[in-house]
Amino acid sequence: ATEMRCSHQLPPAHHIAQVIDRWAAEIETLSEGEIDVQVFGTNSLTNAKQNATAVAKGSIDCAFSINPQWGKTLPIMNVTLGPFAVSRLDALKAWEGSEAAAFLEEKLLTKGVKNVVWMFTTRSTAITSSGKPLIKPEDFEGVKIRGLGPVPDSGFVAMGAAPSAMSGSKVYQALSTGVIDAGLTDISAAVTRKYFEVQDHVTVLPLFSVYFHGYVNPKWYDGLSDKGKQAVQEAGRKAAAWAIEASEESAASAPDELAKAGMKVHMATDEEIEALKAYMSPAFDKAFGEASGEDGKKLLELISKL
Amino acid sequence: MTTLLIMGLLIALLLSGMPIFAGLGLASIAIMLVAEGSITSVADTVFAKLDNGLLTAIPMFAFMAHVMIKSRVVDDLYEAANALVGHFKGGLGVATVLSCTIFAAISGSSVATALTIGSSAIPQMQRFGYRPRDAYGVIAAGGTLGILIPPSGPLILYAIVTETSIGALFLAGFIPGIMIALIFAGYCVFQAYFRKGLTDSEWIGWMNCVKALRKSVWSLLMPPLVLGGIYAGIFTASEAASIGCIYALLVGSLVYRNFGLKELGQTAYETVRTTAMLFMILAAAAMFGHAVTIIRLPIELMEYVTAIGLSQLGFILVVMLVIFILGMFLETISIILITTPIVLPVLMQLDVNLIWYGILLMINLELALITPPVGMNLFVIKGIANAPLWEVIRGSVPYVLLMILGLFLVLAFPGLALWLPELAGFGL
Amino acid sequence: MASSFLGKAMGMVALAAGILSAFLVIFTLALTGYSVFQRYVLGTPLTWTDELSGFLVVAIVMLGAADILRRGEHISVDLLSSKAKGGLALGLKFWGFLATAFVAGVMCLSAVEAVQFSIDFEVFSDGYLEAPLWIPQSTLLVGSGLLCLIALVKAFDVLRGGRKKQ
Ligand code: NA
Ligand code: NA
Repeated sequence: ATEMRCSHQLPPAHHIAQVIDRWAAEIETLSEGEIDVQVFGTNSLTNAKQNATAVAKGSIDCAFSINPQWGKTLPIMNVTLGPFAVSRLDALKAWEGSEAAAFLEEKLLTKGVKNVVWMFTTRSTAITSSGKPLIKPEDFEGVKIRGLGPVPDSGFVAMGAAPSAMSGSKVYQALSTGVIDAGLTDISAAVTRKYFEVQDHVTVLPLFSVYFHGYVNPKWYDGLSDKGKQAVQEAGRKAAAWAIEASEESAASAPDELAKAGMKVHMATDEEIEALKAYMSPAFDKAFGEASGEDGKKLLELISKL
Repeated sequence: MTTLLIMGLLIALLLSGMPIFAGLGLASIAIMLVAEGSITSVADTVFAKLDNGLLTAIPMFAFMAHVMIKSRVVDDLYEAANALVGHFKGGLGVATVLSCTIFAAISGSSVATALTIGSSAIPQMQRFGYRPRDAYGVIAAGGTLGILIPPSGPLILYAIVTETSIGALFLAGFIPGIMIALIFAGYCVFQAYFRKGLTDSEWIGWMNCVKALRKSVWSLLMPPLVLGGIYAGIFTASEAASIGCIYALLVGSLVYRNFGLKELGQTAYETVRTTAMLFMILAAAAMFGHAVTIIRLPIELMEYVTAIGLSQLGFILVVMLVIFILGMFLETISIILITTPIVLPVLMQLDVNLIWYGILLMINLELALITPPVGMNLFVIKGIANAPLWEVIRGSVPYVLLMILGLFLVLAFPGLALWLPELAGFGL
Repeated sequence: MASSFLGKAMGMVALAAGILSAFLVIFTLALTGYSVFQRYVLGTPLTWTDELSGFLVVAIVMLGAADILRRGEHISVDLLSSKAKGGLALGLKFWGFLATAFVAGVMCLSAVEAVQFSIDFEVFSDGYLEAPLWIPQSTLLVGSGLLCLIALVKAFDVLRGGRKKQ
């Protein structure tokens, strides 16, 4: 059998980690044993930062990254982080196989990796804080909030906040030590990472979507038989749907769990969302446009068709 | 079989006397060449391991330690401990354990703890007739408390991997840490009755005790500043370390007035020497971890263990045994990163309390620091005392046994670890 | 120990790298202190210090490693080797330096490849610095290259020293 060693950064209990395991089993089944998928989670094989390089060079065969991790290397990957831009459920469901996805897959090839699966993990964002909730644009003035990178942070900067990016695993400590005042995360992570121990307010809103995407070494992929290639493609299509299901499911119960743990939960209203959007969207579009140029424009067009 | 072969290869390389990082590196390169036919990942693995801002906490704590040693601040801490308990039989050993415990509450690293206390305690203990090996043992072992008594870098790492609460883990480490310190102190007293030529320092009277305490106030202020800064939510660990450094620099230059620019340069250079030496091993351990993970060695080991089908207690005992064996060869960070994700699903299935397991793991990792052939604290003592490794290992043997006793106590009485966090309202 | 002119020159380079590394330690300390000051006194947290600290760790370790080897301070398990005498002792020393040179050489070659990749594929660091990744990776290349050279010089010195005695 052909080995397929996959690295990801998620702890085993994470709902996407479980989708990845299911995806791996599906590839083995569909390829009828031609491909032997070995999944290494929690950064145990390679570090999240080195994943893309390791796959491109062929030191491992496959890895998963979260889109903001591409940073300046491939700024258009940030497109789903646009404020309230790609967070409708039907848009996420239409993503797999869309022109937008195909365009990004083409760009990923120029960085040496072939994309094989898109797994959305968020479209319900939690903004947590202590003492007072963060709801209106003026609430964010001077607030040190967890960031995701220069481009996605631009919307918060426009409201006067001071974002500072860090990986999900560092946020708890940063909140408890006051390095940041406010958390910004996928709502399920607010539960699993126990933000309720260190924060008492949470605003829930469809701010943006984040995805884990799986990619393989192009040479490795070319070496597969047609059946093997089909197995990878088919499993990717199925897993995209599973990921949305799993994410929706874990997001659905999260607000109640946060409330039960003592947090004051506020679900943002449409008016509140419009008010935030008025500040955040122009700033994001400007930063995104500067970082991604013509490619960015083209991608935004394709996104609008979703 | 592969496991034995690889362990045999590594041991042979290390015993031939080459630098540890070279031995680990050579073994990993050999594994990768056989398994992959390629070594392209080496630089990326090393870079990814070292490129971590949190790691600066370790050189910063080492820097702080060097400053406090050079300006003789730690000597005063050690002398205060000595003035209080040194006149009892075996009291000097007890004073050493006490100093290690206090410093463990400052430092998140066992290596820094052994390094700091060792530099003042070793000459002192030898002056009062302790056998070198006994002095090495108590400091190597006392130093390991650095990762059990909060703050602790490895505990934070474990919390991140298992998604458990850092606060709960810190509190859980406290009582077992004090308990093991007491066991060590008890052993020092016991040992003193069987050693000839051991002189006790004299009781200097309460007035002088107060004087010594007053002199050591600058180092006693360190734990509240550093730990308090972390607990009160003011600093991250690496920031707390840097603030501790700046504090130590201020005390050295303004209070003790024996620390100038020249000393600053020397201290920075010494810090580089400690840091580069330790982190080269960390880098090579990352290579080794990557190589054995690629050939699925840890996974197969654990799968085998899982396949036998054990009870909760049986499983933990087997895991502890495996980690003890891994601990002979790997450094703490690699062990946490390699084993935890593999045993975690089984632990959750068997309904094991993850905070409790975290503390058991930490005590086992303390053991790893003083078991040969790869034991960082052994190397630190060897480094500062310029002693043969053999002497340091022999001195540490009794403490290995005592720590195993401590491990069994926490295993038998989970409340030792869980009582404090439960009291503080962490729903466990 | 007898040392060639080249060996002495290499030793000076290693020492210089070690001193540079010491400056970087002080710089890291100042940087972290400055970042805390910015956050609490000025209320404007810096976003790039943590990332820069990570790069500094790589530089400090890699630039210091060769100097430590020059000083003979890399720790080893000397359980058996410290008991060896004469030719065997020399042989073990030679073997140790050779192994060090090999590992450092592999690290260096692999670093060349990593730097080349980062340049070809235009890889940037993923934080606010947005630094081209080949820059911090270069410290790994330079440091391991120097380490390899010092180890070779040391191995050569062992050979020469051994021959002189006979
Ligand atoms: Na500690
Ligand atoms: Na060990």
